[in-house]
Amino acid sequence: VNASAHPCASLPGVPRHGRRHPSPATDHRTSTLRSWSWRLPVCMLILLLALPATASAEHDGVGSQHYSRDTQRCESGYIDNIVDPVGIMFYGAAAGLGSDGHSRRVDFRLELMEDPDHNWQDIDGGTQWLGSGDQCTVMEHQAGTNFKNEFDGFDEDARYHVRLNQNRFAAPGPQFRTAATPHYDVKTARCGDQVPPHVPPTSEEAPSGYDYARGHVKNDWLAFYGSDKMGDVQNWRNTRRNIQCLEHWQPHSSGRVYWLNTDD
Amino acid sequence: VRTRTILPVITLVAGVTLAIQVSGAGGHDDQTGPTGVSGTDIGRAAQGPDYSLKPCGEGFAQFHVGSSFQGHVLNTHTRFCTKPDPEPSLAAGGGIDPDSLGRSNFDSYVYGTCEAEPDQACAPPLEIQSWPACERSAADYNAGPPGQAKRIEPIDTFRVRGVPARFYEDMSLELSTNAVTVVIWGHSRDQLLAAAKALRTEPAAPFQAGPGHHLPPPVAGAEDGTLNC
Repeated sequence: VNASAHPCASLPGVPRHGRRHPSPATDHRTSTLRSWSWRLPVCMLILLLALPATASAEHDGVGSQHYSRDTQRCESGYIDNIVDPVGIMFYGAAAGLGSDGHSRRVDFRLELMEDPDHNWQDIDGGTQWLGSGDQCTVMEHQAGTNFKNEFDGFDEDARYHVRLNQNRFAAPGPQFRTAATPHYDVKTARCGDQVPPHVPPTSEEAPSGYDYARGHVKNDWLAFYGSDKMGDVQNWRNTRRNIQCLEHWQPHSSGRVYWLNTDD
Repeated sequence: VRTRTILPVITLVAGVTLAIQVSGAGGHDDQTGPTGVSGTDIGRAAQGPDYSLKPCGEGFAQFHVGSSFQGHVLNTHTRFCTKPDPEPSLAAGGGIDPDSLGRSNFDSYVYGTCEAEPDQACAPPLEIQSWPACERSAADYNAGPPGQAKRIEPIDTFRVRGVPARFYEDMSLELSTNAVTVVIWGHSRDQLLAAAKALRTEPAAPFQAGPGHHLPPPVAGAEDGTLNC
């Protein structure tokens, strides 16, 4: 592509990187602007069209970033280290300071939640990473419920667990975003925490541990913060099954992603 | 036609929504409740796409690649069919979000295995999912902030065995054939193409397709989300 043919290629006061700078002479600027007059609206249109694309490019169409990773390697198309599907995106205009200001806010608000059966709390779990844009960052915070004995028909203890990763690519901006990978943990003797293919385990029609936990977090969030906090429901097509350490457990996500608002 | 198609879903959806809002936490995919709501409560559903669901007991063509593929033995063959979990959203104007009318309804063949550490998981070498095209098509995928969601597009489209194929960045290949959407999950493009060429149907399938032969073309609506179940 010939760069000089681009309407914005050498617009006065608009260098290649797009920032305006003072022009040296008024008369020269006037005549130059006249000759560029046809290009101004075209250039503005191009810039306007480019802005939203940049703002939302971190996840659009990038399916390999719709899963967490068990190593710090997140390049597009690399899926050998994927683990849990993203099931919830938290978003909002308010955030604390720092690169984890929004995920910390989400974590705090998750831990405030209670329901008749569970108490959400700060928990530790294995480290995972998530890709967004050209970054591969650690899941900064984790929240979960207390393990309960023989819960939901399992012989072992079970809980809800969610890892949180603030999307640096989208922030700072009008909306901060934090990706979450909700899942249902069953504490097994041989393999530690495992995500079952069905909850409860006896029903083949029951949702997977990913879908069940996503629904539970959503229900608790809407009950605690208001039903108007459901921003959107989307289908991210991240339905690939994974194999747990217990090999006969091969859960999947239905591909659904909830957008939950984090503002007051 | 449109109203008739979505009316049963609307009725179910309205009840579930009320139950969710009344009960708060705890419920998941199996809530029930009162019925009765107008079609306007389905946010974007009045535009043309079809949101009907296929009964779990109703069969459809299920694809696989035999007892093994490139050294990976058939690991599991599983049928998933869950209940829908309708949900209102702001993006749907406060009505039921059409994207919440989807669910898991597919047949899955997993080939080979992988070694997951405790507390972790891994992606198997190959998986083939067959979905009714009336419940899953390329028109169903979208991502982005509320109000700015965009369709998730494949990075390449072409034809395999005479039918439309879409290659996605996450090492998956989708084929539209007859009234089925076949989703192949692998680890490389070459592997996915080889698996697509080896696809075949079960003997009891509504139509027969052997490896290497042309597949039946997609029926009308199978690619754009307008196919009625």
